[in-house]
Amino acid sequence: MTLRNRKKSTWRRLLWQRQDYPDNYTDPNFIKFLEKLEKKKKEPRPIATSEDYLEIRSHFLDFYYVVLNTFFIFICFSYIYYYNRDPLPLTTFLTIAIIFLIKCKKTQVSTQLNLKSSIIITFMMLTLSPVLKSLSKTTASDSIWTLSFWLTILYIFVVSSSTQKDKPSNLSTNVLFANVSVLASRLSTTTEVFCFLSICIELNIILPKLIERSNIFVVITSNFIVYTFLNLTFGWYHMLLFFLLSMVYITVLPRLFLYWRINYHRADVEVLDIWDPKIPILE
Amino acid sequence: MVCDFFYPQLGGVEFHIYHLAQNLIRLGHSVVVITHAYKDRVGVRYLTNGLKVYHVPFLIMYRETAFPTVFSAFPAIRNILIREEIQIIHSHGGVSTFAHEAVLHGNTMGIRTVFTDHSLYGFHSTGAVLANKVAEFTLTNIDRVICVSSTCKENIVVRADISPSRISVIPNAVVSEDFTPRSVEKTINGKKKFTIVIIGRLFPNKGSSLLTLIIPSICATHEDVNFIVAGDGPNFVDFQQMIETHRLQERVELLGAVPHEKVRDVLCRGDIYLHASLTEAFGTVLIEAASCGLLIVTTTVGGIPEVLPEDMTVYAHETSVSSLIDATNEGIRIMRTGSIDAMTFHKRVGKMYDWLAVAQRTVAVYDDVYYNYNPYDKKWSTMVARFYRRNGSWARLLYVLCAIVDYYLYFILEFLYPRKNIDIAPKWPKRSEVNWEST
Amino acid sequence: MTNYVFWPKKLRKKEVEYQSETLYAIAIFKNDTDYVVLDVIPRASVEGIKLLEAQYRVIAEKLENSTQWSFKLESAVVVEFEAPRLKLMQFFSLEPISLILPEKEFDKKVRALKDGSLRKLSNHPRYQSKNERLRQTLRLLNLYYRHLSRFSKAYPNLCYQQPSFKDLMLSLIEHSVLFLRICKYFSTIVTSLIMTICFLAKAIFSILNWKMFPLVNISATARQIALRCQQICYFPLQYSRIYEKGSLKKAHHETAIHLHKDLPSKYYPDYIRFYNTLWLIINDISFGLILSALLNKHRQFLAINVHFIVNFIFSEIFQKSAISLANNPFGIKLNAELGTFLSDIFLWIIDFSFTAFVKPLTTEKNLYRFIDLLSQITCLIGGSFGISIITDFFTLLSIPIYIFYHISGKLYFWQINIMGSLFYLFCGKKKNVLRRRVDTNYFQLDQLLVGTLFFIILLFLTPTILSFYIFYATLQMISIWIEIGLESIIAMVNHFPLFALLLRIKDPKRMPGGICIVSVRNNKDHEPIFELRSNAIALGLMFKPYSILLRSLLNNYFSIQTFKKLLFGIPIMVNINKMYFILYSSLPKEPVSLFTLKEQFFGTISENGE
Repeated sequence: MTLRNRKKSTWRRLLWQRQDYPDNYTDPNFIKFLEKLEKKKKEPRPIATSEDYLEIRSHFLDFYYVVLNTFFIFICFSYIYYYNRDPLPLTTFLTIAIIFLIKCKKTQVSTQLNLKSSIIITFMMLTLSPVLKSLSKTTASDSIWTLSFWLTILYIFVVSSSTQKDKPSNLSTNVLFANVSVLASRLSTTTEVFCFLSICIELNIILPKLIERSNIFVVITSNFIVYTFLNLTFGWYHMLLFFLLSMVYITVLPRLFLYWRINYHRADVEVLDIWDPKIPILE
Repeated sequence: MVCDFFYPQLGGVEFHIYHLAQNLIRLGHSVVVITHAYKDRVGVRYLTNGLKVYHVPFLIMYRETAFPTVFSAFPAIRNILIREEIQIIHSHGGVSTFAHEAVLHGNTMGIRTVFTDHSLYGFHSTGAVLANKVAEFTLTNIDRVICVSSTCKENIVVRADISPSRISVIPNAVVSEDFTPRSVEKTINGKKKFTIVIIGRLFPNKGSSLLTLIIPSICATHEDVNFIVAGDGPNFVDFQQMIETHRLQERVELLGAVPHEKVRDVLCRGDIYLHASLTEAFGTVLIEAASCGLLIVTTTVGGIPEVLPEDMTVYAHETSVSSLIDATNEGIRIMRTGSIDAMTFHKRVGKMYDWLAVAQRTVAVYDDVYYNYNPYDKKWSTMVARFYRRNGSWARLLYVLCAIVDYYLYFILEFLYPRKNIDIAPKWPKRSEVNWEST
Repeated sequence: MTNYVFWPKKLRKKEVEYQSETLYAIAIFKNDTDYVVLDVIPRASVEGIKLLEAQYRVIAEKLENSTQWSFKLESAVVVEFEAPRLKLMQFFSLEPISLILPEKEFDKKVRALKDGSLRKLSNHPRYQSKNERLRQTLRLLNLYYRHLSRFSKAYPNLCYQQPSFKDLMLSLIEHSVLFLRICKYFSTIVTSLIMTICFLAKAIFSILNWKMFPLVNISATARQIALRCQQICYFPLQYSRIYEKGSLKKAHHETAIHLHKDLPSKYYPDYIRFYNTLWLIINDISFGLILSALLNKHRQFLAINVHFIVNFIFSEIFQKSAISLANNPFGIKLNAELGTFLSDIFLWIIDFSFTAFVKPLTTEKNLYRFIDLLSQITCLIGGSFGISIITDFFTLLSIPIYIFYHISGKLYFWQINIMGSLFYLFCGKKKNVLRRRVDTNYFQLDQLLVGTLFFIILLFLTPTILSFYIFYATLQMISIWIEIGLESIIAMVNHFPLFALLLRIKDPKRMPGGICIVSVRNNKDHEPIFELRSNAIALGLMFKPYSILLRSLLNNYFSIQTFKKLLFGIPIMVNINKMYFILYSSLPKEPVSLFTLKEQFFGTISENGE
């Protein structure tokens, strides 16, 4: 009687206790889990909700903004190099705007970018601008363009893969600045080099910290600037092409991705998290 | 037994193989270990009690794993299998190339195969997916799989898609005599200093990023708590930096890598063992620590909750800093009040985990495999058909291709190096025969 | 247990001679050796003697008209051997004869460390006992003739050997009083002369090796002179070691008296080394004669050509290359400013060195004189000196290359280093110099920007500096290789084991390199008969210092390590003296002190006088 009782005692998921079950006994809960998994595979695919779609689209949009932002480097560059405009007024305007913004916001950025470091940066750029200007005199423009192209790709990759939004990694800043200084070495006068460097730093490094990228006003402005630039430089058909492509990217691709995830992605992946290494939560 | 990881390298898998082999020899079985060559350790070596180790010279790829070629070890493995008259191949470790090859070739030669998995694999990272595919391939025709915990078993069921009834759960064990608690209590009434021990390789997946945050915070709240960190790894520098920025040189001791025989001494210097691992199949070090009479504070990832009874452990249910700090505080409180007598742990753990029992349970698996042998199982057509019935439209064709190539290789080898030309190795005298020495 | 019986081959003849009689084989043995058959003796003569000394024993018997020996030992195995003749300096040895001074066994220490376990094994008594027995037996074998003569002296009626005529004559001369007296005066004069020469040589050697300014490290000629001085200092000691105190002759006497003593083969390596050095010096001088004749004959031609080549190299190759490096070499666009600056520096150095010393040195007239002088020196004191003077001349001419290489190397090294640290900054890491590790560090924005700016600037300058560095490093490597080539010719002339090589060809038994035991034929009962043979020393062993030198040369100048050094801009230096040292294998580290020399001489003289 007692023996039967003991046999009846339920199996517990413990290793330190020898239990009256064979070694290859399987947890009944797990068998249920397996069945559920099987069933899930067979049952019709869930219908995508609009929330899912919105989430995915926001991810896609983030990337789009990054690309737009990096466009500004080239816009500035061609503004100075290609159209031969005087960069001084633009730089002054931007600097004043940014100082104004910093004063208004009084956020973490202002502590990070104190007076000392900005003076150091400015003077450093002033002294090194002539050196930078002369560095690549003998190098062919094509090789500079190629270098810049790869650096841009790398930058986009690094920025979009960094997980922490508020604290961009050192690497992305470095790659960006490397790209900027490579381009700057093409310019002909010291003032141009200095202005170009400061514009790019302000636009790409300081500004994103002050304003939200996905702010509707900012989005419209940056889109407007980029498309105007494309229209002016490459002509309307190129602009249209780019516009169409980005439209496809923003509207169609997220849907496709969603469709793929629902129909072709292994459905049980989310459930199988239990065996993945846990993500450490660092507070 | 086949595995890439063996002596002179030290680690969990290595000790598992060694102790299991020793106890199998004690039970009267003949055990041969096949591994790759470690530096000048090439050829045949004998360890204690005539445990014969073949160090096959092979190209090493990464972290002492042999270069993954599917067939290249076949000649050597076949030769050893015939020479030693092997009846059962027992492979260890999911990332060991040798283990996989041995299973594949053993199946081709019609030898029964058993596989032990020691770790958990996820489904999201590229490396894990690759490991899963390899496991799916080799475990198609496996006779039995042994896992170290139920979690591990379930993991492999999902990964390699094999029937749960073919998988046994046999935990690791601990040599109880090697992990005795310290003899003298160092308490001076009320003025006791507590020491928290952390042992393990300092890798990101062992939760080292958590630890570097927990240690300063605990040190700030408790004046009487010190830390000992033993182990080496890529995150070692982070620990050094943590100590320097928080000025904890007096209170945190970084030991670096500690040889396995010294682990007991390190453990005995502490009162609480802190384990912040993010993934763990079994956690042998937990038993070792408990055996030394330490209270265990740990995360609940993987198979850890199965390992020790509730009263020996304090669980942190999240892998977060706050949760672990809470658990550690709870552990310190328990030790302060002295509500549990950690010194009784040793005896209890010794009863729970014993290598001889592990060996006996393993032998039961072997017996099952050997005596309930169905010749149909090892027929080539059956095995190839099994490969064909696998999931994955392309993968299964690749599996079949590999299997068929392996059979061809087997024929070629039989032709080139006929079985009758391979000498049979004499066996080490059994213990019973040399028993006169001890009596 | 098997008993090994060593049987001299020449006794087989005697067996045939005494075919019709019953023969006994008498062997000598000691408690730690095997049996060595001394002689076979007809039964008739043996019967006269009742008792043999303890170390002799009759071990086998052969009945008349039979060919079969019946042994009185259980399971005897016969090993035949050719008895080594001491007079011809033949002997058996387990280890190869050492051509290197024992204290100079350079790689022994390394090897011992490497195979620690092997050494432990070979030191194990069980492993050694067998070896030791064989060693003792070989000792017995080596003294076979001594033992035989002693045996015949002890039992004159058993066998008799006639003393040779030469021995008689020698003993007569040695005992004549007049001869001794002349010898004494003569030797005093010679000794003091030798002492003076040695003192001079020693003084020169120490000047050349002066610690403040070691000339030997710089100049090949100085090295050559130092070597000769060292050899001169060592000769008397070597000679006396061979011929006087503890000499061969005496050792022969000793062995004749105390048979258990070691045989004179201990002194053979010294003998070989001494004559090898002597022979090499003579060889060097004859080589010098040839070289001098050649130089003399072609001096006109040589002077013109050398002048032309040096001028061509300086004005064409160096100058043009420095100019072209500044102007986009091979179409690679370099930084113009830096390129011009660097090439200006180099052009200036070329100009300076050319006018300062290269041009005056290499005018046709001066070259003509130089070659004349060279041929005379070569004629007088040997070819090696000629070559070393040429080497020095070449080193002098290649000073500009060395300077170029150093300048560009330093620049490159700095560049690489700075870029390395800036790259760490690029990745958000910092090298902690105090703790020798790489820390993660969160840099301020200004630090980041400045670092990146510098990194980019350096990146732009890299190709320029790299191209200069590659060009001059290649030049430096070429000049180093030429220098090494010349040096190795000198090494060949100075240290070639010529004598040993000839000795090996003439009589391999004098240069034993271990033994082997070969089965030669079968007995009637199909018991195998073995033969003990001496292996001649392996050629590789004779050239071991060379192979080691070659390996270290390759390691230093032609290996992945060298390439790595070049890659990281670490300077590559020639330190021939250090490597060359390996070849001084037959010379002691320091020249022999005069005191030991004196002791050696006067000790021997007083001995002679007695």
